[in-house]
This record gives sequence, C-alpha cells and structure tokens, in this order.
Amino acid sequence: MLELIVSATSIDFIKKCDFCDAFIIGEKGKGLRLPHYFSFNEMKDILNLVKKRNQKLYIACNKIFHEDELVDADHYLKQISTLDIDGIIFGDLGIYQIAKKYQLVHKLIYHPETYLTNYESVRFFSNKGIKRVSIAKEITLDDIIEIASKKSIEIDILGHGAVNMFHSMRDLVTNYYKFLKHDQPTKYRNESLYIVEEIRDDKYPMIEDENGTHIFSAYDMCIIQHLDELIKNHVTSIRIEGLFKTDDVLLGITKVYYDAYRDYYHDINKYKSNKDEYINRLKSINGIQPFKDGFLFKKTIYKGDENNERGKKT
Amino acid sequence: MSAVKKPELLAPAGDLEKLKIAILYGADAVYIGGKEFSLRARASNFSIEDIKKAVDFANEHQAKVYVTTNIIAHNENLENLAPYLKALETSGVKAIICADAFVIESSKKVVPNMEIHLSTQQSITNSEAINFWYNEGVSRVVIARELSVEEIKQIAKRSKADIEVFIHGGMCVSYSGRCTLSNHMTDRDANRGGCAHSCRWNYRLYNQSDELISSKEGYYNLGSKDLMAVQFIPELINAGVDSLKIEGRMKSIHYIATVVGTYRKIIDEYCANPKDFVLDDKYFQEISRAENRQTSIGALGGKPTEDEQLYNVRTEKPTQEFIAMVLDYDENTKYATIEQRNYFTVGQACEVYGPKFRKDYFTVEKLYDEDHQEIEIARHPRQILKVKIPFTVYPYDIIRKKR
Repeated sequence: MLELIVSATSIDFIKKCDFCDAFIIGEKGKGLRLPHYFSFNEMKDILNLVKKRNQKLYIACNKIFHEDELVDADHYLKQISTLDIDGIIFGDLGIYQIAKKYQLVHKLIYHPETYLTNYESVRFFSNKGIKRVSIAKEITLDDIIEIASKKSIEIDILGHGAVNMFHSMRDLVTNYYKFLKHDQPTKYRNESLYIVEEIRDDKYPMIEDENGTHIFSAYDMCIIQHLDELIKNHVTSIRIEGLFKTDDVLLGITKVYYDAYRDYYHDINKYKSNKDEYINRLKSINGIQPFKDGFLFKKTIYKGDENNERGKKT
Repeated sequence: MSAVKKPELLAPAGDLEKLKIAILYGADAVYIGGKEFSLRARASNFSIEDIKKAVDFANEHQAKVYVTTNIIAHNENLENLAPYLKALETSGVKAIICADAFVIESSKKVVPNMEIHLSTQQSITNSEAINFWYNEGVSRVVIARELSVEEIKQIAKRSKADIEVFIHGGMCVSYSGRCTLSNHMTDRDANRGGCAHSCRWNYRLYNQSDELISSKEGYYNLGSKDLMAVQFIPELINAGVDSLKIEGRMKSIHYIATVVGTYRKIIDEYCANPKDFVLDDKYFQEISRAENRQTSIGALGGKPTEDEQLYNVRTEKPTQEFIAMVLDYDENTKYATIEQRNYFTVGQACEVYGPKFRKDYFTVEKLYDEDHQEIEIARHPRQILKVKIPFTVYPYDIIRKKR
C-alpha cells in the first residue's frame, strides 16, 4: 500500500487528519523547512495520539549541521531513540554516523533534496541499512519509475506542495535591508515573501528563517494523476508538503489524495476515470497555491547551451 | 626548513595553456574537467588525449592532475563511467573529484589506486559527514564554502580525511549542490553542468500583500561576491588544512598566473617563517591586477553579511592590463617573441610578471610584426610580435601595463 505522508502544520491539523498514513513533524534547530516546529513534549503527545489511530510518525532531523551543532544532534538522536517512532528523516550524512551510536540506522530516511537522482546511488544507500530514501524532485516520471522498479529500497517522493529550489545559509533579506541601511533589517524574518525575476512573471516564494534563506518553485508539485504508475512501480510513499499551507488547505489536499488512492485500491478504473475530477477538486480548495507536475515530463538539460546563458523565458 | 606543514596549492585549468601557466606559476596540483561527468561543462573540457598531455607536463614539474567528475548523475548518465575512469587512471590522473555516490563507489571498485576527493557540491559542513565518506574510500573532502575559519579548525581536528578549502574565486550563494534555480527557471540542470547562474540575476522582492519591498530604483539581488581569502591563509595553514583551492576553470591565463603566483608567494613566505610573516598590502595589490570581480571573505569570518553580497552589478569588465604573453627570448638580439592579448602601442610602460613573483619593467621602444615590419600599434588579438626587452624573459611570462 502506498503510504500517504503529510508534514503537519499544527497539533490541531493532526487531530483532524485521521485518514492519512503518517505525519512528519520536527523540532526547531533540527528540522528544516517544516511548516511548524513542535516541542519535544508536543512530539511525545502527538506520538501517543497517532499510535492510537494506527498512523505512523516520522521525525524530521533534516537540517545541514555545522560542526558545533553535532553535540546537539547527538543529544537529540539519543532522546529520539527512546521514542517508538517509525522513521527519522535526515539530509546530512553526519546524522547517519550519529544514528549508528543509538541503533537508529534502520529507521533512517535519507532525504538529501537534490542528491538522489539515479538508481545506482539509491542502491548505494540501500546498502547502508537505512529504511527509505526520498528521491530528488527534479527528475522525470520515467526516471522515478526506473529507480523505484529496481526495488532496492523503499522510495519516497514529493507528492504535493512547495518545491524547494534554493537554500542559502545567508540571511538574504536581512543582508539586503542592511545594505539599504534600513532601520529594521530583520523586519521580514520568518515572513512569506516572494521574488520576481526581471524578465519573468513567475512568483517564487521565499522565506528567511533561522536556517538562512529558502526559495521555492513558482508552482507546487502535484502528482495526483500518476498514482497508478507510481504504485505499480513500487514507489513506497508520497509526501504532502505542509509548508505555506493553512490547516484547512492542507487538510483539503490530503483528502483529495486520500480519496484518489482509495479509489485506486478499490477500483483502478474508477481512479483512472476520475483523474480530472481530482485536479478540479484540488483547484477548488480555497487558498490553494498554483500547482503543476514539476519535472515529471520535463527532462532537465545535461550541460548547458552557452548561447542561451539567460535561459529561455518561461 | 619549513616550520609548519605546507598545504598544497590547487589551481583550476580550463585548457592546456592555462594548466601550464598554473603549474609554472606555482600550483602543486591542478584540476581540470573531462568531457563527461563534469560540472562547468562550458569550461573548455579536456579530451583523454589532452589529459595525457596535461599529466605529462605536470609530471615534468612534480605537479598533480585531478579531474572533476562531479555531476549528480541521472539514470542515463550511468553508462560508460567505468571505462572513462580507467582511461583517467591510465592517463596518470592522481585523483577524481566527485559528488555522486555511484561515481564514488565505482571509482573505489574500478580504479582503486586513484584518490577520490569529494566535491564541494556535497556541501559538507561537519566532521561526521566527512568521516562517513572517508569510510567509503574518500581520501579528501572539499568542505563547504559555508564554513568559518573557526569551524574549519574544529573540523580539521576531527576529520579522518584530508581537508581541502576554497580560498579564491566564484561562490555559490546557496549550499552547493542543493540549488536548482537553474533547473526550475531555465530547464538547465545545475547539478549536471548547466548552471545558468540564476542567483546572479536581478529580482524584485514582494511581501504577501504584493507590496514591492525592494528598492524602487534598483533590484533585489541574491548573488555573492567572489571569495578572496588572502588574510586567512596563515590561519588555514595553522589549522592543518591539506589543500588550498582556487576556483575558476573559466578564468583567463592572466588571472591564473596572478592569483596562483600570489598565493604561492604567501604560502611559501608564511611557511618559511611564520613568526615574522607580515600580510603585506602587496599581495592584495597584486591580486587586484587580474581580479575583475568584487571580492569578499565569504563565510571565513563567520556568517556572511551584506558586505559579502553583490548588489546591483550587471557585468564585470575584463581588465585590459594583460597585453602580451612571452613565447620566446633571444639573448643575443634582446628581442622577445610575444603574443598580443590586449591593445598597446609603442611607448607603453610595461611590467613583466613571471613565476616566483618575479617582476621587471621596460618600455616598448621597438615593435615588429611577424613579417619583420616595424609597427606602432599592437591591435590584433593573438598577433605574434617581436619587442625589444633589455633583460631576459621566459616563455609564459606575462607582460602587462605598468601601474
């Protein structure tokens, strides 16, 4: 069964969302780009709640750790090792090293954002004893299928939501305001902003937080029309990204995906004939961000074209 | 005798001529890109034949050649890696610089005697991550350009692998390897050699109420100034860093000669006598001769501030100072054969700049073209000329305008 995972926006959301398979939650200072940060005690309460409902819980420990944060990371994994959680999402291989100390390797889900783009590298990590890998968002459906069909390890992909495309350690909004000699340079910290490139119209969401500055694609990812191929070819889980979503929007999206995959398991033809309906239902969610199918049918260009340095206008 | 461990000086080379310059001006090792599996696809990449020539030249000068194979591969890029790695090994390449787990794993299997260096594309920021890759056969890690000197000191103490640190050149403002602006904005794959440098473009910044919150006249920019770590070299050497790396496979030979020559001088002088070493202004002056982009200290001094950002700079002008390169010198006639690189005329006051920070000065008095016709103006790019120089000069010496 395909696992439907949602990164949670609040405790309230988790209480309401009793139909998805799993949640992603995390703590400030350890999780990266999470829609909400929970305290350790809140996470324990959430664990109790979701276990009662037979849902799974994954803790995101996916930040890029600098040397002086290793002690903290070590302490955190030790704490986590006492919890009956289903997985730990990480993006920094230092976490793998620490997880060995606490016998947590089998719970690890390697999610390095951009680094897993081929089946051989996925196989490499499958040999490391970890539970699952999240593959990159920038590859095609054919590539995803080729990777997943090797069945070397559980495969997770982004199903719906914000697509991160840039992470700087720098405070790129604050730095700019300091350059402008603004009297409140940190005014926009933790606020959802967007940027527009001079010859393009797209609005790229951007946020500066304690981990630096993050920029996202102008369109959310949406794979709802391809669940059949993904399931058939052994993709294990899809993530619905809660970042920038209100509880209601996230709940709405999750419900459509839940219905779609239930349709699939009950009657594949019903799923197939309902594909447009799912899109319409998603579009009718009040406040939902614009979405597309990302790189599923768009192969990125290997090497560059030096005569087109600025790229084509999209 | 050296009082401290001398790190390797590692320089980029976009082609064979630049490779020779880099080595002659003091690089202990150079890194080049092959035709496949390499980022910086547009930096005139080396064929296997060229790589052999590069290694031959390097061997003559006790230098090493590393080859970048640092793409994050897609399924269709996986084929032909093994024969390519073997060809590199046969060519005498000492190390490959890679970022994809499969490339690393394959190298360990296919070419066990070649060193594996982990590219900065993996943005490694802590010693545990280094030690993960060390256990996988990586002997050296090019650590992230997000690290301060203090962090580098701590990491160097705990790292099992050798540490390589960028000291000069272009910077990603994003954690390297984790940026796909180019993919999303232009379809060009940043992790497969297609980076369009979208972080250097002009933007406008808005808040959620659609209010423009960047300057109304100018643009909002993300890009980073280039890195210049001159002032941190002593500390990096003391930290025990194994290799100091200059970025820029697309840079000119003047840039390579100047930047490599200057860092060579700093490293040698510091290591020879750390106590009495003074960070002379001449080093900064020298680099500014060839550096046409704004520089900063990157993250070496801590989290970058507005001083490390590049705002409202559209293009950089190439410096016009480099006017010719020496091809040959006739001791009897005192005439040098030179190749023109920028416009100059008779009467031009010149500085000859050679390896080991050698400098001498002359004024162009007599100038001839290839057909021995006396001329007044050298206006044709790459034109072969003869010029009288009263002292001995050597092939690959740089002739530039005197300041």
